[in-house]
Amino acid sequence: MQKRSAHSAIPENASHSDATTDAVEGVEKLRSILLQPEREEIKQLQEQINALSFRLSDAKTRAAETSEILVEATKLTHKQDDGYSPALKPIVVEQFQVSSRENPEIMAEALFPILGPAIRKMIASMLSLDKNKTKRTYKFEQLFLIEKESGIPICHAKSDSVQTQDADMVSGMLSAIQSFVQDAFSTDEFDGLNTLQLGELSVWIEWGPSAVVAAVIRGVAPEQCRTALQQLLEDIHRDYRAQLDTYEGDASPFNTVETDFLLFMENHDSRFINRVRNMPQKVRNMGLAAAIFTITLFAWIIYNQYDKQRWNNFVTELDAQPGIVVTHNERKDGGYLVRGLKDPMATSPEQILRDTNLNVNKVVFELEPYQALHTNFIIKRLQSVLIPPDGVSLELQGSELIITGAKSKSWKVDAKRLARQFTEVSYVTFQP
Amino acid sequence: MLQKKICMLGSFAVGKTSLVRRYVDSIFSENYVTTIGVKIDKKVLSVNNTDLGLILWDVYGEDNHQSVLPSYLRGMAAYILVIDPSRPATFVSAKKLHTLVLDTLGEKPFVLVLNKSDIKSEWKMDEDIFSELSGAAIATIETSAKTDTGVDEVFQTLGICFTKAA
Repeated sequence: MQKRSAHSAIPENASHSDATTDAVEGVEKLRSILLQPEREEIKQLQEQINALSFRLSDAKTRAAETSEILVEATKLTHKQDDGYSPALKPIVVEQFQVSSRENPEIMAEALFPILGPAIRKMIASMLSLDKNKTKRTYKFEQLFLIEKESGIPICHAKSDSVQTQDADMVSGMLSAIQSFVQDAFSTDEFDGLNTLQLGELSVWIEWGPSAVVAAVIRGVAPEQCRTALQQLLEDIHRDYRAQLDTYEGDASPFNTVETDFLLFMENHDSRFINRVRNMPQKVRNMGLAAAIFTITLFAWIIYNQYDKQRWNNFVTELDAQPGIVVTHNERKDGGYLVRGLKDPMATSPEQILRDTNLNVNKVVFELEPYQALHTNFIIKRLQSVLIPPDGVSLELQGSELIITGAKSKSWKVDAKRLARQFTEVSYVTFQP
Repeated sequence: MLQKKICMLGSFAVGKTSLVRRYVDSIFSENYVTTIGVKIDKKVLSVNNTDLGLILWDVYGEDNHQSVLPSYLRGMAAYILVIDPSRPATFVSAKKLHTLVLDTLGEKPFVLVLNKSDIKSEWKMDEDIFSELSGAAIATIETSAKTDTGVDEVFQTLGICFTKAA
């Protein structure tokens, strides 16, 4: 029995186990159906976290993303926080110092166009450049703009009367001489050759970061001319920065420099300057008188135009005034005459005139009296005749006079009678 | 007109000055080469209907007593390296000058010129240096100033090189 019972117990347990397994599987399936969307969401979130974690750990990605918002973030921080600029200041100053120490040439090139004028201004204020020695004879005969590295002339200008050698070879030789002196005496580049002197001929050489200006001068030029030459070179470096940086032997982008050179030579020709200085006193006085006359004439024409414009503006403004009609205006005996009509209640023309800069005493008004039909003037005239008590107001609508706030019966009768004498009033209405 | 600085380099008496003497415009005395170590000449070419100005810096020959000033090389667009194969020592000088250019400016195009081809029977080639320099040059040309051989070809080769680069 026991055996049979045992036998029969086995299938019972097995069926129970199967049922349990089925139940577990069912629950699992149900859970899978129920939780599927959440699992998907968790998976997506996990992926996002991974991507985020990669972005945060990868320096390049972080730098690229930060760069996109850096400018805006900097602006915002600067706007919101007063401490931002002071915090950056020591870093900027330190980097500026390091950069100046490590790359002085870059700094020098950047500062070259502004440094020169500043230094010269300072020196000029300290020393009086030999102003008294300018009465000398000198002439700028040739100007060369030479590319610093190759010694090839970028531009050459010469005065008409001068016979010259080939500019290409001359500038090459100047450059070679400079190199020779520099190497022979181991001088620094900017301490290089500045002047060559041969009898009455001298060559001034001014050095810039990319190009050199060499001036061939006959005679002794004053020191101001050297300052002007430095300024010319600085201007060229400022105006032709990009062309100088990319120069490869083609001088065509510098065509306009020749005009500047010729102008410089013309402006620094002592013969012209001295010609003016050496003119006889009588001729100089006549020239001065002619110049003063011309300037005076121009000044008078300009003032006259200005005065005429002011007068026209005044007449237009006067004519636009209620109660004034300008029928004629003219200039007479150095003054002005205005003819026309004026309502006695209109603004005084003299008052309007005073508001302009015109001379009140130079204007004569010939204005005939008339009655203007402006509503304001009619009301004013009615008020002067009716003399309304306090609290009474007059209003004109078309030809109807509306009187408001009148209480006195006798005044009302008088008012109605007097108002009807005005041609502009047809009806009189009283309102409480 | 496009202008280029060209240096003539080579040992003393290899014939640099003779080579260019009758082909170029010159205003300076040849004494300058021995005084300040350089003389400037100019050669205008027409290559493919384009005018090209070559400013030639005839630099003092490299020898035991005087060396080339590196500052003379600054800004040059190309150079002509001249050897006199009848004097094998000029190969060594040429190699030294080539190295000086590499050290001073880096690689620049150059034409290797074997001068004095009129006495070719006397040539004693240093094959090692020749093949090294010849391999680096844009062209190797045999010339003779005496018989007027190959000189124009040297300038034309440079001209074509620049117009191609432009």
